Amino acid sequence: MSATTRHRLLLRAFPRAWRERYGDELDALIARADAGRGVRIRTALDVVRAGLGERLRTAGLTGDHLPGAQRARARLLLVLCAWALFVVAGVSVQKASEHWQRAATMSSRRLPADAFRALEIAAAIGSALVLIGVALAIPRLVARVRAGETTALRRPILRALSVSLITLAAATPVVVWAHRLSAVQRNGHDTAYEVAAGCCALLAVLSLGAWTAAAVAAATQTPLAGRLLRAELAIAAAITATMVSMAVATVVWWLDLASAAPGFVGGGPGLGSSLLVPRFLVPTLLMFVASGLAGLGTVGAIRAAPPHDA
Amino acid sequence: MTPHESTRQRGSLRPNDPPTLILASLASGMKHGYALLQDIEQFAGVRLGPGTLYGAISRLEQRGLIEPADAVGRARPYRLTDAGRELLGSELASMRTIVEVGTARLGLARAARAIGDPA
Repeated sequence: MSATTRHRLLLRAFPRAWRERYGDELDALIARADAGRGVRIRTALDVVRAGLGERLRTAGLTGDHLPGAQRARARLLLVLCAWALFVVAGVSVQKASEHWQRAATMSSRRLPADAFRALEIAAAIGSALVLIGVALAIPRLVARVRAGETTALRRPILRALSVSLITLAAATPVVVWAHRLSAVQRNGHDTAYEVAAGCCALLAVLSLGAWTAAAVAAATQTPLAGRLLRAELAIAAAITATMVSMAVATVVWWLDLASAAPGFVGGGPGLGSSLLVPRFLVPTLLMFVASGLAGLGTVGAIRAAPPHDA
Repeated sequence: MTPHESTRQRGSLRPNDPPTLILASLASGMKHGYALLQDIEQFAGVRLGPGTLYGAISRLEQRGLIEPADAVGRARPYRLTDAGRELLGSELASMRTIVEVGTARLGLARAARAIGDPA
């Protein structure tokens, strides 16, 4: 890879508008600072770190250069993105937990059943809150669309629609196939099906990501202030609470199931090894990461909101 | 608007932050990126990375504290604006106060220890 290509790749860490203004100067500086030695790792890390910092700043997630309402909106969008990440983790847990009741005896099922019920209730409440939050903002977005001020929305929406259609086209034959397989074949005993289902899951994640990006683009065009901003702040706080509840409920369910039915959880004898099973460990960690991001977004939004809106 | 209000609106500086180092470097005249890196390393012993430097340059320019001059090849020199000079002056004055008070108190403490007084 040539030095020019490497520099261009590094500069992509910065937002496009920033690159258009400062990219050429920074490119020249990198070339001169690392003259004759290629790009050093230290320089590369510094440029990527600065670029990501600039992206966060441009998005309004750091710094105080934007008005309070805009910063609050940016941090509310972080809660929405955290929710999308949480959904991916939650679906993974849901898939890994299929038929768990059969693995545990009736007497050892009470606590995990309660925890699982709490998880489902919190998931329903959280989903409803997200829909309410989106629905509340729609009238203002529609007003902007009618005023012709949202041309930047077309591209992310078309991209999300395309990915969703591809996902639907790929998933339909896989669902038909799944109905012809036994439960055993569907759960890890048919490699071809596993690969196909994995590809569909990946496409579903991409669809979710594309729609989240479209929602972020739409929300960025939607002014939030006054009562609407206050309502969205309250909803974000409640969504964060449901996410934390779900993460905790998942841990309680998993821990109790690991001691009551270690064979179902897998990972060999002993509670310790059951806790390191990737199909539970990874999504659970992801749930806590997403909850943490949502917490940061909510607290940041409340702090950034103008005093009469907070 | 009082000078203090104006300074508050422009934000404040911290002694070893890249923005402070850049403003201090530009106080002796306009410089481009590479000259800034070298000068800052020389007077402060801090080696800034190119990304860190340009991140700080863009923020300072947005805040109206520095401004670009005509490019020389692909390098573009920057210089202090009046607002940047004013902010740097007021921040250096407050830093100087802290240095003077700290130094004086440290001197007093040393003197007290020398004569065996714990105060």
